[in-house]
Amino acid sequence: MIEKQRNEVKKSLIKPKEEIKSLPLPESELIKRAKEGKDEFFEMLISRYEKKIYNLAYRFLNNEQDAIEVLQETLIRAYRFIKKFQERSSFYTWLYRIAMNVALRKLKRRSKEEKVISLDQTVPGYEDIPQEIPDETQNPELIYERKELQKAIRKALEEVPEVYRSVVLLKDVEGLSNKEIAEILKLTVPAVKSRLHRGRLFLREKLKDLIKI
Amino acid sequence: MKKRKIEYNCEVFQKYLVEYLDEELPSEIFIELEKHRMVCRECTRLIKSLRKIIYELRSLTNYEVPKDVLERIHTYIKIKKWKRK
Ligand SMILES: [Zn+2]
Repeated sequence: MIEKQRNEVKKSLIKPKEEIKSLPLPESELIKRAKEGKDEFFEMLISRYEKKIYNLAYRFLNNEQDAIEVLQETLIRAYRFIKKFQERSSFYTWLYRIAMNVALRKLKRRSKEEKVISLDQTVPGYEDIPQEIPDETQNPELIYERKELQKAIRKALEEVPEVYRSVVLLKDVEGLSNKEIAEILKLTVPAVKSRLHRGRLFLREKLKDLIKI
Repeated sequence: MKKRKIEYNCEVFQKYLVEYLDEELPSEIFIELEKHRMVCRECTRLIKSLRKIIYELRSLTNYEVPKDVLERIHTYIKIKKWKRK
């Protein structure tokens, strides 16, 4: 029975998406149709942000499984609540806010659990770090340095206290404005700036030996 | 106490750091900060290193969402809806 449902679902998943792909619709139009309950438009709408949310969650929680769960819960919530989205902010601000709330809740739950099982923690810096594709046109020494720096930055980012890390991720990795970040994290703009400042100084302190200036 | 003109030192420079990097300062403040920076090695190094860090953060390689995950999520959403009907 479930198999049958799944097959039905798969069919409906693939077909409309391919048909519509050829015509690029403005986001407002996608939102409008998604609100009307047209799932293929909802899928088009979120497909633009899935990878971003996954990466944001991954970097915030430093864990693949948690990132998968955050992405899943974010998309399900977005799907359930899209009708309530009032378009006072941009869609991605709204979506990021859902994602950050889900991620923060996960973090709280995890810190409770970690008090019980602290031996299970991974040692920072020893996780699998995805390989970068080096630019072959550059001098090998520079490639090496750059690679080392990127590795160090990933590691340092993991160590930034969470209150600052969320802001650094949204600002410096995602490139959002202070105002958008304030909306997402329900903070004032000065609070965003202050956290950003501290987060960046934290990173600089961690990376001072590697950055030759 | 008499009102004094602000002295643009390292401390003031740090205070405006975020706006300075965002390039959203009123030009009169920016000019004063630049005057300080030009004679201060520490603040110059601070700005340079932060710019480098920000640049590297912006160019971090993205993690790929595992292939099956998206399909699973989309299927899950559909089944939820199917059940609600
Ligand atoms: Zn100075």
